[in-house]
Amino acid sequence: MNNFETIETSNSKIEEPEQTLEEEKKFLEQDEKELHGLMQGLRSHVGVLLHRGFSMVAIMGLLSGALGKVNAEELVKQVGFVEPKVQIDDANIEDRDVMREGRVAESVQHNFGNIYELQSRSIDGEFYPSGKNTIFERAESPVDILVSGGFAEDPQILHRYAMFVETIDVEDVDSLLEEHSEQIQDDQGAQEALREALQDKFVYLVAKQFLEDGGEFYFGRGRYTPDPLGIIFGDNAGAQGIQKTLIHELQHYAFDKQDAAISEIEASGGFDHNFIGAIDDRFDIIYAISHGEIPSSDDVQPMSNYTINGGIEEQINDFLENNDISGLQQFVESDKFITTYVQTDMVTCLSINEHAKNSRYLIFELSNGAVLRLKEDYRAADEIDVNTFDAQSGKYIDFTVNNLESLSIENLEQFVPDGELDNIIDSIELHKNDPDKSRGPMINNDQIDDIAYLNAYNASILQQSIRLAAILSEKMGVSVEDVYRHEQYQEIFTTFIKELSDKQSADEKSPVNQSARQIMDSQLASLLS
Amino acid sequence: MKKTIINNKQELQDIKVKRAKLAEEKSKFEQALDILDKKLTKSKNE
Repeated sequence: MNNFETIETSNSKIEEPEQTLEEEKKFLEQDEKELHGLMQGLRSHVGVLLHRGFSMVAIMGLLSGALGKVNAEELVKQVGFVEPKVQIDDANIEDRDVMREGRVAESVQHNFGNIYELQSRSIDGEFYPSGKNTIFERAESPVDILVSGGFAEDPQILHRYAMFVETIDVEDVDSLLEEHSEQIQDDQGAQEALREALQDKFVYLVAKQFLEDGGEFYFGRGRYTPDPLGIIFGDNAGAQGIQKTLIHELQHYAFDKQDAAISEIEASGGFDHNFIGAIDDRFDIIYAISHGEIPSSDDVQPMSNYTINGGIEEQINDFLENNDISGLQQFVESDKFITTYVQTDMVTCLSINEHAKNSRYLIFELSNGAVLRLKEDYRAADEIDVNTFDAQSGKYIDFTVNNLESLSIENLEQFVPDGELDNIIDSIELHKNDPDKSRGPMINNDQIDDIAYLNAYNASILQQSIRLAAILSEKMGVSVEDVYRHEQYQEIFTTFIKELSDKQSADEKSPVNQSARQIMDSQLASLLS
Repeated sequence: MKKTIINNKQELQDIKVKRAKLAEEKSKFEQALDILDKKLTKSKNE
């Protein structure tokens, strides 16, 4: 019998794998710990950036640059950067109307599971501006007065800026650029973008004031600097990207010049980006269409798939791939189209507010080079969460507590060099006594309403442009994609945006979605008669 | 005993696969962390 031998052999065979197995288990445990640390670090970084005024979309954009859009979104999912689910019972929404007169509350659910509440929609289903002109409302106490004084003529950023509904003769544009040629760095692509963009009357007004204030245009990665007054733009691939950057940076200048409350706050970038993003989207929608293309989510972010309503672009493409023109018409004419567009953009603002409402950071740079970050988040677990990790700029020690009251000297002293604890304890005491101290600024209800309105304006333009394409496509017997390049389509669309911007700027209480539909109806009536 | 060996080998293989996946995840997180870290340092200085 060779049982013994077999066992011996088996044992000798077992020994090595078992040893390796135990080692591998330890390594696995270590890997999991490191991964947890990295996740915590990433989550903490995202939190601090949000606290400094960066939007969640902007942060995802940062990650997209290196990892690609899909990976960046996936990464955020993996990191689990989600606000706790605040469940809103749709059945009780009517009861919540009392919270803001004339507006209904809608739940907005992000694909990651976060649920927010948007209270900007009127009871008639329309999104109206606040009536307070928050986009250009002056700050009571501007933080930066280097660039100030406002505009002699309103650049009409809310309803007309960069829509090319009123134009300037190219000779006049050339004359302005020639007059200030020493303030404009020589670059052919950017010169062409300036020449084209300034043919929009309202972009021209802003750029003219900028040049008269001594501002200089440089070419590189997009940026606005108040001192020295300058705008950098021009390294984006393609004429659309270059123009968009110019139009974007000029808005920063316009808000600064106006001392607008949305930019004059003590937060990195202020909230002007939330407005500027919607104006940029409007430019991209109109630019694409007027160049014979269907707008894409690559440029128009609210067409992306961020909420449980799905992505507008994906749904449009499904109909187009199946040549289902009547399905496409039904979809674009549905209330879901507007709701999805508006909610997809607004989820960023709502996320910023949710974050600011519930959490704040106390940040201490220690003499040993480490950074101590104390995060108070009302929604955190009762246990104190401590995490340390090394990043390129140094070591981070992160504490998360649901109440600063629960932090004690014992928790901190092992991480803090001698003699530095007292200052930290003093700061914690100050924060305990002032619950608003170090809390990130929130976007107020009027600002939220105005951003929602801008999105409803954009959605209505997009909605009617696709509706027109579907109808003309059937009438002409050509594909929806091809119809955008047809002269008749371009003529109707140009008239449509002109009339819509006229109507909305003359009376901002005009229901934008209904107005857009009526204007397009009258265009279609003459077309189909 | 043979069954144990097979089980151990299988477990070892599973752990190795899991560690390989974790390594990929870690690499992604490290890249992401570096990007945000740079932004954070820059915004602190601005």
